[in-house]
Amino acid sequence: MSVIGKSEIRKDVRLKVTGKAVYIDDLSFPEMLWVKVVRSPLPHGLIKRFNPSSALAVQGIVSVLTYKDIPGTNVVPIVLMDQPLLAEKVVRYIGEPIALIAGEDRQAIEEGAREIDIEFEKLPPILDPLMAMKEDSPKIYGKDNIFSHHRIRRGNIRQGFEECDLVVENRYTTSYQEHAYIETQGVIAVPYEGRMKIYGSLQCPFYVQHAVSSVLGLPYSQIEVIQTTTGGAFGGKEDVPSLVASQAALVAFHTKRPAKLIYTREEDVESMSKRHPAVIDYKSGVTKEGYLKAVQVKYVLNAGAYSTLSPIVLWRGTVHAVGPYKCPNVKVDSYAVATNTVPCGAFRGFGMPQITFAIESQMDELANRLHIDPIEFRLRNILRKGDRTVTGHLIKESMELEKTLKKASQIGWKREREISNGYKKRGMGIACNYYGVGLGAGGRHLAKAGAWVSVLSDGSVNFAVGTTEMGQGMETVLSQILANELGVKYERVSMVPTATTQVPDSGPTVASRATVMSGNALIKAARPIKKSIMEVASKMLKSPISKVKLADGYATSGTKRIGLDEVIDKCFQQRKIMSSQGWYKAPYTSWNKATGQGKPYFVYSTGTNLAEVEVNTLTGEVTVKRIIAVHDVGKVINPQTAAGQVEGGVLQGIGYALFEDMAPAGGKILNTNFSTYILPTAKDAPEIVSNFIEDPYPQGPFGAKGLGEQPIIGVAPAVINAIFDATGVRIRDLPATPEKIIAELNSHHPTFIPLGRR
Amino acid sequence: MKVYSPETIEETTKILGKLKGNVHLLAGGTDLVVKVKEGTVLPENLINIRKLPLDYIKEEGNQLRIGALTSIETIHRSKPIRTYAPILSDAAGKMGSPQIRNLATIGGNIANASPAADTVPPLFVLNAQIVLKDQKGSRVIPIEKFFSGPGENVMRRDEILMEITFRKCAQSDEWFFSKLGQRKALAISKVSLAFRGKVNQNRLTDVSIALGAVAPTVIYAQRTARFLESKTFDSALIDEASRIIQEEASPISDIRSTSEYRRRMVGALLKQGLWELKAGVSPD
Repeated sequence: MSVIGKSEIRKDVRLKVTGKAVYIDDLSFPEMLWVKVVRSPLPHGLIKRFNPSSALAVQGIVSVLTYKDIPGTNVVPIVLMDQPLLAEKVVRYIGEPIALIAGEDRQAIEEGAREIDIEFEKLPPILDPLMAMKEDSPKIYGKDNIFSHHRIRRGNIRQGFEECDLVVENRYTTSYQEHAYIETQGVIAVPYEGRMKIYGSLQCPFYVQHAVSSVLGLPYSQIEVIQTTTGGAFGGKEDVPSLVASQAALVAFHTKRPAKLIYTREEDVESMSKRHPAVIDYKSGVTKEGYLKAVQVKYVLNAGAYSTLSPIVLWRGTVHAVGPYKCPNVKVDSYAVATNTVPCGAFRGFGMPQITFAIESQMDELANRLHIDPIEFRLRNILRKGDRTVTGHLIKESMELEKTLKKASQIGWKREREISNGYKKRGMGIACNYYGVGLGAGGRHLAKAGAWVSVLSDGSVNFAVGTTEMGQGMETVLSQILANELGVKYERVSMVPTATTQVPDSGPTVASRATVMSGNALIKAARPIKKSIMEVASKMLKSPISKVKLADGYATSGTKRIGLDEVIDKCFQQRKIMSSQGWYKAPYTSWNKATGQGKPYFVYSTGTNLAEVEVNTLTGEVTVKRIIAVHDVGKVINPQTAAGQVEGGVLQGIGYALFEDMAPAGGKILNTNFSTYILPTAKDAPEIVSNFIEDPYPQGPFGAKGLGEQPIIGVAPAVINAIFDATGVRIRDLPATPEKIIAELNSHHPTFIPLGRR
Repeated sequence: MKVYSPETIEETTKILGKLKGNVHLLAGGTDLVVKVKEGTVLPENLINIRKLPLDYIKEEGNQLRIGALTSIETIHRSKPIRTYAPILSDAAGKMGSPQIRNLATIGGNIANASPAADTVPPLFVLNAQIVLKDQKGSRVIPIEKFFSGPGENVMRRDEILMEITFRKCAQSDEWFFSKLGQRKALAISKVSLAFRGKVNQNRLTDVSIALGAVAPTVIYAQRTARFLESKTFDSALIDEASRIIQEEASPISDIRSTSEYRRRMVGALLKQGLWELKAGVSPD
């Protein structure tokens, strides 16, 4: 029986639910020091004086370090190399690291931090990205405050709009979104015989390796990064741990003692990356028959004080800026803009939840104004096999958006609305999305993965990959892939903690890429071992190799079978190769920076979300009653884990749509913990129906594509469209708080009658 | 910080009487511990009163007496309270999360003096009395006289809050407690409203309304209450009352909401509650 498509019990679940998993804060080393980061209280300023003497006088304080103590380069290497590890003369956002304090215990470093004497000179901050883009604005980055600009040019945009019967143009804005991983950032750096070992809660061990190497001026070979059990990441532990680890490593380097750095929730929220706030000007035009003719988009991300991953986040949003639709005339311009605010970065969806909110709100409005059912309207425009995306990419395989749309509609789209109960109005909304799996042309040099497999003489199996488990279920899914490939039982397979010493640089664990990349690398690693087992089994079964099958712990040939443990034991007696490396390189991708044309990703996952809401028109409160989420992921490896990904994404999406609001005042984030940063709780969770369409992707392991990020992307627009359907109010500024809904309900803007209640 | 853990009331009031410097009483800790962590409170003296025998709900004739250390969850589930003060049980069930309700105490919820405290508007419409004690004796204060501002109350520094008393409600009393939070649980009220009254031959009588989170302290909406008693209970009366009550509130804008929304919601919550009271009739 195949292990693929079975809800095997997650590998990490027992330790986690019994509280025995070892997170970074559970670890200690002899002689270990504690580290605290001294941060900027100003959004923009000059450091006039820095005097550590009274901090050094505090009992238990061992060391205070600044940028002057960095032996290598004072840069956190990500994309543009503009971010210092520790500020030198200028501070550019509230929370920017200035110095590190190391002490014997937590109390000492807290006290030491209070004693640090720094004098600043205030500089006027730029807090708004649109202001920062103005010609006469003060410059905090380059000559125009723009970190990155991408474009798509297709067809003739002017002519395209002229041919339209209806053109709709709106501005959409979105708030920050905080990752809210349960475990805050944390690292322990351990100097060991001239090398530096880094243990930490992180997504991308190779990024950390490169950053620490650059800061300490040591070769990559001397930096060893070991991932500890990671309590959630969602992109928030992609680039950021490079910073945290370099801070701890700098202390360990100078003191020659292990150094532990665990961020408090408040400093984590204040200073770590988030989903970028966006301003999107979106203009789309259609013929009266309901065909998209022209789309023009200006997509602006507030990147914060340093570029971090913004250029890539922006790029992904740009590529997908028209959504999964055909459109002959397209002009997209996107900008990541520098401001004196916290640097934003990777967050599940990576630049797509913002733009998808705009795309799908526009699609809904167009459908309503054309008096076409929103599902029917989408069916007229969606991408199918044989179509070209707006970047000119000819889709040849694994594109079943239509099936997701039809399935979602079949499960729950009602043309006849339930009669709303007085002031409580019911409505339904829909949103489609697609997602380019993997890094694509924007990260081509990293689109590779290694794996190592070792079958041991007792028949148990170890494997290592360069991607990480962060709660998403990778370890389980990869174990299933390997178990299926070798024919051993799932229980016999286990993953060793991800570390830079196990496999070659495999790129980051991001972009929903682990299943495809590490899965394929594992299958390749298993091949020589499988060959050994097949040869020996063939002799033991007295059957030609072509007839031998490996499955469920047995080698079989017709009616004959033999236990794999026995075969493996024999393999060892015969000194067969039973351990091997695998290497997988992603398929071809391309991108023309001037025109925005090319094959940006090798394959797309697609999905449709359908939301049913109830809006209390007296209070503006929205209750999401049900979300139907249908995703085309090629092949589901573990149905329960896949459903879990969807449920988590839906809840994160509901938070993004309705609750999660971060409105800083003067560059200062006011809600830095979970009593004021409002996440949905179990009581806010709707009924979630998850469903999968399986149209195998031939290059994926057993046909699988990626799923990780898909589930959050379309949730907010589906909810917002449902609010419109219920009330006629369209919210174009996320989150849709009751305050905004009530203000709209009581304003006298002409609104359109939702199609469902016509 | 000095910590004391007295086991009797006498011991407690004695310690309180002699301590110099600031003093904080630790009951459930759900407000105090957060403030200490945030650094907004730096206790010089902390008196842990959790061992005091103040965890009780007693019926005495037509009175209910609730010990200050009774947990919010106990109040939510208590049969006497469900029977004789259902509005208090309902409000207790809407507070925080199960973890918070298990720790938090009613005495703490009152003494903390937040205008958003969820048990306080119900206690207003129940005409509750607060019993305070010091070394010399006790005094009783009507709940509406207990608060002097946000986070401030009339307790002297040597006093301890002993218990809350009020008359049992009649079966014929109509009531509702409505709160708006930023989500459906684990939310501090943006606005709350407690209503108590009787319906007699299409007239409202004995109306009492208290509002939370829309003024420096919880307040009575007296004008609205008198207005509701003045005319036939119909939708015109509801509309007018929900307009008047907005004038009685003086809300602020903060991290949770805006003054404009809060003011409007005072009217909306009254309207919603009265519609439902009027046999679930809705406006459309």
